[in-house]
Formats: sequence, C-alpha cells, structure tokens
Amino acid sequence: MQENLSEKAERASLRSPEKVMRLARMGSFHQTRLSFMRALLRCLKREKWQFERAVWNIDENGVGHGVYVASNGKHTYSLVCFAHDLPPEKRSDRVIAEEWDATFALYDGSPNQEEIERLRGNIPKQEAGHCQQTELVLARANRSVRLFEHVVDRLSQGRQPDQDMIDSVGYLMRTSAVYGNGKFGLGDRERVSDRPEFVGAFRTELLAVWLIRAFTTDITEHMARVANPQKAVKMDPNIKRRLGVGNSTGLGMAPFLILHPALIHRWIAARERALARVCSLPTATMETENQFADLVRRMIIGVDNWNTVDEIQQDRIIELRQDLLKLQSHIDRDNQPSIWEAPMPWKQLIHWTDSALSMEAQELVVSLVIEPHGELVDDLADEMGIDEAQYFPIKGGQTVGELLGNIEDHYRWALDINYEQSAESARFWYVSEEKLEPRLGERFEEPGAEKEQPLAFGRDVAALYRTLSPGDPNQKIAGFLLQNPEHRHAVRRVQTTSRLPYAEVQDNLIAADMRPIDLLRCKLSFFGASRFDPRSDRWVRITMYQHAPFPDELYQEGMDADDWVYPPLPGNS
Amino acid sequence: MSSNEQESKRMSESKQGFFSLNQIDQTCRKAARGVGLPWGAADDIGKAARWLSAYELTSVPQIVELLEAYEPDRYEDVIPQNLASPLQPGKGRLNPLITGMVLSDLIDEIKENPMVTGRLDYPIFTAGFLGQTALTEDRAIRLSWAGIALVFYRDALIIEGNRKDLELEFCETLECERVNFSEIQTDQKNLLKPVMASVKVDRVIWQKLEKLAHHTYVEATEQSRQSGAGAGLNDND
Repeated sequence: MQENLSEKAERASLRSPEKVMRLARMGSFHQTRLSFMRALLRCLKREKWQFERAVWNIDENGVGHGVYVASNGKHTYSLVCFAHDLPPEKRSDRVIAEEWDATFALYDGSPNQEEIERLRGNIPKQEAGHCQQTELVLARANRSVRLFEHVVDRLSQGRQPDQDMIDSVGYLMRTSAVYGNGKFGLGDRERVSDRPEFVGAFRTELLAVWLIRAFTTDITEHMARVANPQKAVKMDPNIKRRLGVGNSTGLGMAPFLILHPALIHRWIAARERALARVCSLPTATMETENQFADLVRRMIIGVDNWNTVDEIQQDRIIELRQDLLKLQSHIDRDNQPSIWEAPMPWKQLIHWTDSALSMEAQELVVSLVIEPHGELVDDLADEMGIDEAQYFPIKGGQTVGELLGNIEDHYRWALDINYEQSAESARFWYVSEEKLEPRLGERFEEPGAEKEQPLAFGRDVAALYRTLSPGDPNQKIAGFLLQNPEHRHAVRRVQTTSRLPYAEVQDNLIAADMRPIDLLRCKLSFFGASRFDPRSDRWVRITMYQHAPFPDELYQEGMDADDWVYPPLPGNS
Repeated sequence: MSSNEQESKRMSESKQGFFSLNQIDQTCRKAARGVGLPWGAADDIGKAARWLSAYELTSVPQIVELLEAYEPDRYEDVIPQNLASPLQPGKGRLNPLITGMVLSDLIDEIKENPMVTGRLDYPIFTAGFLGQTALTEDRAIRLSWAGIALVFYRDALIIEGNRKDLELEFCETLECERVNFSEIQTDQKNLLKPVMASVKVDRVIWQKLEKLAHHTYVEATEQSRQSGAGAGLNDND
C-alpha cells in the first residue's frame, strides 16, 4: 500500500513531455547521478573490479602499445592502446580524419601476442580496419597539444603542471569517436547485454573511456621521463584527478537520439522519475539541505572553470553563475527559513526555478536536487536500457481512426507547423559518401535532399495525418500501409511514441533555427559529460570523468566512487 | 585453442568477409532504401536480414539478388492485392519482403485460421519478418511451405521437415498460423537459438550490397565538407 502511494506521488510530480521534450530544454540538460559513467563507477566499485596496466611497451618517441585490464574474476576486459607519432597537419577530430595520436580497442578477454598483432594491423586504421566480435569498442583520441606539451615540459623539469592551465583545458587527450554495438564488425550488443556490469546504456563505451583516461596521463608521464630521466616526476594525484578525457562530437550523435525513441524514453523517464521522487518528499532533512547547499557552492566553482569559445554558451554561463548566486540566497535558511519549512520543499524549489532562473539553471537545479538522494533514486540507473525489439512490430490491426487519435493526442505540436514555409523545411539530414559522415544540409541551396535521412518525424507524422484523415476510420493500418508504404516509418513512430511519452523530441528538426547541438548535449549529459564547449551549432567538445578516481584509486581510503562530479570545495581535494 | 583464437583464425580466411549483425542490419536497411523502398520498409528489411543471419539461415546473397531485381514501378504487381486470405499478387509472384511485412503486420489478426499466400518468391525471407515479430508475441508463429515448417517461439526456432526447402526460389503457397506455446513439442535438440558470432559473407556479395547502400549517400562537395558537419578540419589546440 505504502509503495502504491509513493508511486502515485511520483506520477503526480512528473513533469509533462510537452515541457521536457523541447530542444531548448534538452539542450540545457546537465549530468545527474543516474548518468552512465557515474552508474558504471558505482557498479565497478560495488562489484570489486580489479584493474592493472598489464603491458607498457611504448618507445622514446611515444610510439607503441599498452594494455589495461579490468576484471571481476568472471569477466575480463582489456583496453588495448596504440600510441602514434602524428604529424600536426593531420590532427583533426572529424570523422574524415585518417590518423590519430592514439587508437584503442576494448577487447573481451585477455588478448595474447598474436591477437595484439592482429589488433595492431587493424585498430590504428579505425573504420578502415577489420574488427571482430571480441572487440567491443573501437576508439581514437587526439592530444590537446598545448596542455599535453605543458604537462610533459613541467614534469620533465621536476615540477607540477600549472593548475589553472589544467582547469582551463580539462584533459590531455580528447576522443573523437568511441564506437560500439557492432559498428564496423565490432561485437554486437547482444554479446554482452546480459552481463550485470553492462546493464543500462553505453557502459562498455564508457568503461573504455575511463581506461583511456589512465592511458592519457600515463603516456604524458612517460614522455616526461623520456625527455629527462633524471629529473622527471609523476603528477601529483590531486592535480592529475583534475584531468578528464575530452571528447569532440559532431552530428553523428543526433540521428541516434532520434532513431532510438524507446531508449530515449527510458533515459528521460528515469531522470524525470528521479526528480519526481525527490519532489514528492514531504520534507527535506537537515542533512540533504546542507548537502544541497554545499553542492551549489561546489557548482559555482565548476561554473568558474567552465570555459568555452562559443559566445552563446559564454552568455549562458554568465547568466548561470548569477542564477546560482540567486539560488544560494533563495535557499539560505538565515534569509528565508520558510523555504525549508514548507511542505514538499523540493517541489516548491523546482517550481520557483521555473520563473526565477534561466533554462540552463533550471536544468542544473534538477541535477542538484537529485544529487543528495542516492538511496531514493539510484535504482533507476539500471532501468535505462531497453530491448527495443518489443516496440518494433507494427500493429496492423489498429484502425485508421485509432491512429488518428494517437496523432492528435501526441503530435499536436507537429500538426501546427506549416512545412510549406521554407523556414520550417530549411534543412535536411544526410550521410555524406565521405567516410559516411552525418551532415546537415540546406534544402534549398544544396544538392542531395532526395537522399534525406528519415529524421524529420514531425513533418512526416503531419503528412501521415493528412493522408489518413479523409480515409475510412475503420480501415486496418495493415491495409493502409499496403497502399501507402511511404508512411510506414511514421506509423511505427506514432505507435511507439504513443506508448512512451518521453520518446519524441517535440520540435521541428528541419527548421532553419533548429540547433543540432541541443540534441548532442542532451545525449552527452546522459553519458555524464560536463563543460560543454560548443565549437559551432553542430559540434561540441566536452569533458568526461574530470575529478573521478583513476582505476588505481578506486579503493583508496576516503575515495568516494561517486562524489567527484562537482569540484571539491577549497581544502577538500 | 580458445574460442577467441578460433574466431581470429576463421577471420583470416579471406575471400569471405566477416560482419556483425548490426552491420548486416544497417547495410541491408540502406540497400533497401537505395533501390527505392521506403525507409519504413527498409527498417523492417534490415531487421529481417539480421534475424535470418543470427539463426544462420541464408540471407545476404539472396537479399542482394532480391533488391537488385526490385522494380519500384512493379510494386503494385508483387504485393498482395488485399488482406483477404489467400494473399494474391497482381501479376507473377509475391515479393517476400513486402509479403513478410504484411504477415507480420497482421499477426494479431491471425486467430483460428491460417493466413495463406499465393505464389511467392524466396519464401525463407518471410521468416525474417515473422521471427522478429515472434520475439514479443504471446503465441508462437508457424510458417510452412512445400515440405518444411518453421516455428518461431520467442527467440527460439524449430525447423521441421526437409531443410532443402529452406532454399526454394519460390513456392506455390505458404501458410502462416498461430500456435499456443503449450502445443509445441520442445525437443531441446531441435531448438535453435541465435548465434552470437560474426557472419560470413562473400566479399563480392558484400560489395554489391554496399553499392546499393551507396545510393543513400550524398556526393561529397567542398561546401558539404566545410559546413555540413560544422567543424574545422584541423584541431591543433
């Protein structure tokens, strides 16, 4: 009975899809404690995974290979790293690049020498090489040249790197692709999906990235030792931990978000349910109130270290900082004790942010209020994967009338758009023949619109609606599709999203003013990324695992596997 | 020799390429679109090819053949003319890709009586669609033609009869019916489960498939290269 009541309270506190599933809001999401990299580290520590650098065979030019092994006795994964000597003119994060500073494979098991040699012949070529089922992840990374050189230089002189410079860049290397799930011949997701460490989504990829982080600091220390074997020192662990792994991401992430509606529903629903659970709490404890106040202080430091060259994001960060100070004042018990004494204080707080703070800050507060409530919400992290197959079959027995009703209930936003206006159909999503890079074109200025990818579901569902409307409402959908096969993808979409309220982005994805970066940021926030640094409206750099423990620190006394996302308060490093 | 090493040795035998199920799904999907099928149908065809490959039933060579022979202008001839059993083509024989989709769409409507088809090309392809659909169904699905029957039982498959008929280029009629789980004789020896390994495909065949998929890609231009992805070409910072 009690459980039913709390479920009911959770449901009553859920934010509506109409509010959440807008690009502007999704593009303001921040990581939460449900984010995949955090859930992964909690799981690795809980299940007592062990880690070692089993091989380090890198020469004085920084070329060679290393192997990092993670094992829990039942399963073993090996990150095989290849370090290369890359000419600067070839350093590009784009998909169309063909060489990188480092390339990686996460191998299912422990590769013997023969396997290492096979990988050496293929992994450095990335998409052009051959992978097999034993390789679960394929990735590559480029150096942040200025920080890498600075750190090598300082360490080789026996000095520690400049902390301000470390904080301003945040990583030594950034990955430019991390592939999994059967791409390019890699192991299919089904190979590992029943292993407890990989429940949820993208955990194989994020395990690889966490191990890559260790490689990036190891190779930096290695190069410093090569430069000056007598004087070189290792990095101070407290400084080293301030380094994450960068990531440079383009449009490739956007189609994924659109083409996996059931999965996206699970991600967003878990986050919204976590928020709703917190909002339905009748009171706040003094402990959570204090934790929350600390988190706000820590986030202010985080915002001070959030650098970007993007003017729009710069303005948003300035406003966010002001908003955080406003929030700090709002929750100060000395100023406003009534805030914490009111019934359902977390709900009241979220309600207050709606009118008082920017969207960027509103969504940050969502993360912050969830944060001190691990016991209440962490189980949701394991519900963020899904077997998408159950939503795939089309229900051909549904009638035209029923489908029209579904569209009217869930796609009103799409029916209200006039796609005849050029601004509403200005763009098209396509795949370039050049290394199959996903791109966005201008429909009325560029060739190729006839090869448009099927991502404009708002437009396509509206077209389906127009075709269905004059028909017989009792006709079966199977019959309709036989005569109108071009609507098949839209029918499947409506049937899926009608059952999954957070599955559809409720914005026109081909409009002239659409910002693809909002889609990228949404997805990356679920990974657990921070410090979003847009390079354009369709390209973003981020940092992953900044401040997180390294593999050799996970069991260190006093090291929390999960309390690392918000920078430490001064004196608490 | 460990299973990983065996896989490695297998991979090095080279006229054949080895592909993941995801690659088969995605490349067949794009190839289907490349020959002019709508995206929604292409999604189903990719999944069907994946399902057939996972159960080691022949798929890629025949799918290439079917897609290469597909003529959008003849669509009306090769689809069922209406949804009444038996499903009959307008002219010639039914296209198994479209027919597989129709049977899958209608699966909840098939109750006591089977749904029957008229003459059909490559009947095995309908199995890809129904196998995918059976994963989420509460009753099994039984598909039979000539001297063979396939029973789809969630993610398990039972093949009864003459396996040679799996490869028939066409059949006169095919039956699709529902079976309660309790009615299935589950002899564990006959129960086939999906295989989680790379799928072997002749490289020449794969190149043909990729050629069809290539029709969905947009030609590279300098403008596209510069602005389409929204990033610089050099990242030395």
